[in-house]
Amino acid sequence: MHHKQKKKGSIATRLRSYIQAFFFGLIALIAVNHSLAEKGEGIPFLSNASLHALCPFGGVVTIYQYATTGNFIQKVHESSFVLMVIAFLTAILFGPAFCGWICPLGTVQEWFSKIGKKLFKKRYNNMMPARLDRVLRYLRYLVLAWVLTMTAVSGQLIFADYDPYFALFNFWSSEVAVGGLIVLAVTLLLSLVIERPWCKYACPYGAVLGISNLFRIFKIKREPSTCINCSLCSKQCPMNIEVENKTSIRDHQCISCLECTSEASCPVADTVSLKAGR
Amino acid sequence: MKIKISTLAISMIILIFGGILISSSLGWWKTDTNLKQNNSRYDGIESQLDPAEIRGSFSFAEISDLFSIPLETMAEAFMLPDSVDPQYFYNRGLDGLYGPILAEDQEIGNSAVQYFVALYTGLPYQSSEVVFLPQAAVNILKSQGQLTDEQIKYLNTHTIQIDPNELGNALDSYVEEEHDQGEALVKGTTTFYDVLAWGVSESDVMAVFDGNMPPTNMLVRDYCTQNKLEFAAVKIALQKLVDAAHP
Repeated sequence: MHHKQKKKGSIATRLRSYIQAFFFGLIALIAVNHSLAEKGEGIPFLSNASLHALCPFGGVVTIYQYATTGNFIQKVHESSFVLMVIAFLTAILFGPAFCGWICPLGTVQEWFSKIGKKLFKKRYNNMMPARLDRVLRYLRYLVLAWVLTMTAVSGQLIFADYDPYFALFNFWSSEVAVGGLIVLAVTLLLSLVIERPWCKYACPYGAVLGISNLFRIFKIKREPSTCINCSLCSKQCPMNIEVENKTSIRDHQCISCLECTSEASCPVADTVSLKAGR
Repeated sequence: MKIKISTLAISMIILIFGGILISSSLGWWKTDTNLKQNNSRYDGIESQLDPAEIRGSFSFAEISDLFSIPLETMAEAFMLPDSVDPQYFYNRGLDGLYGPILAEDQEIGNSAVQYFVALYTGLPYQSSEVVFLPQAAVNILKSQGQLTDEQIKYLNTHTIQIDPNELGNALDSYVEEEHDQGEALVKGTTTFYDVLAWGVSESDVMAVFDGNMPPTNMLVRDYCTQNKLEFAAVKIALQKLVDAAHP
């Protein structure tokens, strides 16, 4: 017999929020410390690394440069390579959990989504026409191809001029480009009507990690024999994946937030869970 | 095998911070441009302390730190005006500072810093290009009393008298130049992609390099280093092309 369970507010469901807030705070502090350190006023015992050094996507875009010239792209450091490898490792195990649990830009979009949910209730995250949405979901692969190509050709961090993540943590500095600020503003505004719009439609790093959904070791699986077809799993998915119609989630947009699982939204125990094997 | 939300959370934390910890212990975790942290742009420096490896992207503070030259000495040698903090002054800034007041065939830039550092520290240094130093730097070197007769002879003909007031006026243009992101100026951070983007044709670039087209994603300086070309000469040649294409 499978029990219905009350989950809202449980530690398990709040755990992701805590971790997201922790990484958001950590990156924000480091970004501020970087600016302070440039003026000779850094906070002791806290890293003052530049944001480029803490971005795993920097590792991805510099692969070609490193392979062809033996140098990193300007502003990218070894730490970006290390983070890239770590993120790939987590993706092989759990899919794009980096997006759902760590990425501060994803976090801030979720915070804005809370306002959007209050404003638009059930219409929130359901306003985009299905056909357009389906096409736009592949836009991020075009963005990825453009970023990789332009970076390879120019040897420069082209994406930094449009990167909302960089703009989010550098909006006070002269380093940030107007393009980045505009993309950030559009992203945050869209977050009021769409859950994680940047992740869904434009994030090139999400595109890279999303591919891991096809071969990840631990997959989100639904057990049809105990499913009561309440659709809560689908309704709860920030990426609009129809979990209720699948037994194993291989959608390239899944961010492994686990909001659909029996520990979070699914009311029946052991029905939607993260597991390896059958 | 099923895992819980808490297990995933703990796994992510362990993988991220554990990965950083392991990479740190292996010396792979390098996040900033501090000279002592072995960024790739410092390759060769720490092991050999070769002044020739100093680049335009090095700050006076980094050079002071690495070669044990007092920061004040660096500032004095290159006559940095009081309004410029030597801690955050980068070699590449010398071109902008001295450029407006020097004759066309003279230059005080990264090579001058390399040469000054070499003479000050007594480290071996060979330059294939003509290097000039400001009078203030030469005075410091001579006061140390470590120069050979040959070096003194060279310096006597390669010293430039600088008027501090003139330098102060040039500072205004230097500050503006540093903040002008759209400038078409060939410098240490310029790639061949930049040169092409400024309107220079591929064939014109190839003419500078004996018919070869360097990789567009490469820094001009790196290409010169790899091919044993004099950066200053290449810079002047490319800048002429850029100026012609980007008036």
